[in-house]
Amino acid sequence: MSTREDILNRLRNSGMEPQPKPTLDFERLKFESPEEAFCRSAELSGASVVEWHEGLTPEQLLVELDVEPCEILSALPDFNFGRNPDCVADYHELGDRYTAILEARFGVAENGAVWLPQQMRHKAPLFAAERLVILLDRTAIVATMQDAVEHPLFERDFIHGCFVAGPSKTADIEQALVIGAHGAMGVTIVLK
Amino acid sequence: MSSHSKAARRFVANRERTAWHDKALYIVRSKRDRMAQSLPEWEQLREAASQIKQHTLSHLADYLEKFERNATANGIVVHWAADAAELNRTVEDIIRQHGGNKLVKSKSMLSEECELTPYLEERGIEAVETDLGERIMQLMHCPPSHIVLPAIHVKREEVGELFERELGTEVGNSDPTYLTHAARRHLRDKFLTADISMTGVNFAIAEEGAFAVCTNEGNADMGTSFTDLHIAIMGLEKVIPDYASLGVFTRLLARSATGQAVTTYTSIYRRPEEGKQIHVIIVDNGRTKSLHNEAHRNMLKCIRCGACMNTCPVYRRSGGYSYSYFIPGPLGINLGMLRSPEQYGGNASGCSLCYSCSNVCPAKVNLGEQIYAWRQEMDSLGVAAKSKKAMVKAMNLIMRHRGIFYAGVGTLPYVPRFVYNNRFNPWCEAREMPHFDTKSFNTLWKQGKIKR
Repeated sequence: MSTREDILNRLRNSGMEPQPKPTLDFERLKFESPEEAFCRSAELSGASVVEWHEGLTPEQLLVELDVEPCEILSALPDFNFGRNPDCVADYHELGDRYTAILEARFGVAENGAVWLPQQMRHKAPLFAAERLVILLDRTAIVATMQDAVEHPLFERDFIHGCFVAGPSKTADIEQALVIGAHGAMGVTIVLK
Repeated sequence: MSSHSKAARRFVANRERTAWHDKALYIVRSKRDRMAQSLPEWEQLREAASQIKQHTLSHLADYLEKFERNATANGIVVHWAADAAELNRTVEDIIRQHGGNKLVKSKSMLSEECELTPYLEERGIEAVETDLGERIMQLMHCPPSHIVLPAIHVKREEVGELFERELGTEVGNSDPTYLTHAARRHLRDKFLTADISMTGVNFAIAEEGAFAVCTNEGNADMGTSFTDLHIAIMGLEKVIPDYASLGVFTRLLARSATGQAVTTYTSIYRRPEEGKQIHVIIVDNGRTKSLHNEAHRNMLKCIRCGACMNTCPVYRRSGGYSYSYFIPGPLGINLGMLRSPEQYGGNASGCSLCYSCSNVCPAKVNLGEQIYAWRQEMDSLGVAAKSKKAMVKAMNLIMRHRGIFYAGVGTLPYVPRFVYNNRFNPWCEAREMPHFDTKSFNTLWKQGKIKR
């Protein structure tokens, strides 16, 4: 008998009574202003949140964010100033001194995470970029992770997707929080 | 004296360090408390998590088949391994077929359990731990002492000296930010030149054939981004039904583990990128046996958050290395007993039966109650301590006979201290026996000297 069959057989003979699947219909956390709650949570996670004021051009926004256009890596048409990640022949050669600009599908108020299904050919820049600038529609904010996985924009067909909450961090040396372990050293959320 | 007490002797010899370790973990526990208290539905979430796990365990074969079917349809290659040897062999085979000998690893308790890293190293495959705490422990040639905070017992000065030697950092600089960024540069180089990446699996989602890997550092994501081959290894209890379940568990995991609202990265792998491969290996290694064990199958509900360790008064004051199983604390005591009572029975005494672990567990695993149950089973398993057995037999004799009992109570106050306070009585090693009055409660009661 193969390992697979053997394992499955042993599991089927466990003698455990079938248990029902819970309905998960308990009341979930709600926020009067999901936007405000999101901003609070995002800042707690180490991200900064700025607003994209009406009338501001992408170029002007970049000046406000202190990002040099030549440092940009983005596939978004509005930010086509630097390199396009899908035109990079070998992303191993990108280095790490760049700012990736991406657009999140939605944000989660309870923890400040944003949902980023893979939008580039390779997901590497999402993690290797020194800085992330993430655009977020301020009306697309859900309360909890349970609401997130039910959201229509939490699409079913993706290669890789990631909930990102703030910059990469660690506290492995004496529990001292350090920003910038392996991934982004800084995350800026731009509310549209 | 149990193996745990003996090993703990080394740790508690340094009082200052014991107090520091205790405090560091209590801070993590307090953060967890604040998170739990900030969510009105916390207890409902725990109950939901427990029920989802119960449900899944009772249909485990179906869910694993479903996961396999959907993952395969997504282009992920699924393997099965009965034990550690088969897991290690399977990993080696996949690597040989693909080529390359540089592997970057993110933290996986399963790989520790199966001793995968030494297996690969012996066969010429470099396996670099990329979680900072795990990397520190790997460079120190020591095992982790905590499942979430591997280097919690190491002082910054020790990391500083280690990095001076291994990474060439400035002499005498033990600033955590400086050292972390030095490790970042060192490991960035490893990521960019690696051939293969390996991750654990936090949750395998049956309905979608996808799996989630949660980290704060982004090390798992960096590894899988820069290599063409991603090998993910999972214990077979890691499968959950659907995304709705993932929603519940991601609300509990980081809050319970480190007191954060969520881990920085919750990465969901669904399909390999073009030209790349993802292999998932589903591992039994004793888990089906645990499922058959009605009294202890609850252990399979564990999501490896480490909250039970952070809250455990014995773990906090005795450190991870006092336990003979590679996972310490209440979780390790239980998993060790399931693995081998003969080998790991000495850990079962490392518990004060306060049941705090059961109260903080996000999946409502009754860890404390199970340790109590194991203690009842020790004798029938043939691993009860001889001295304790003798003591219980003697107590049984005394308690059953009034004459002996009262003779004993009457004599005790006059027995010289050295008779009971000696090296044969481990109780007196760090504390005094209580003082026995010359008049027993019974005597005082009869003389009417006890006021109601």
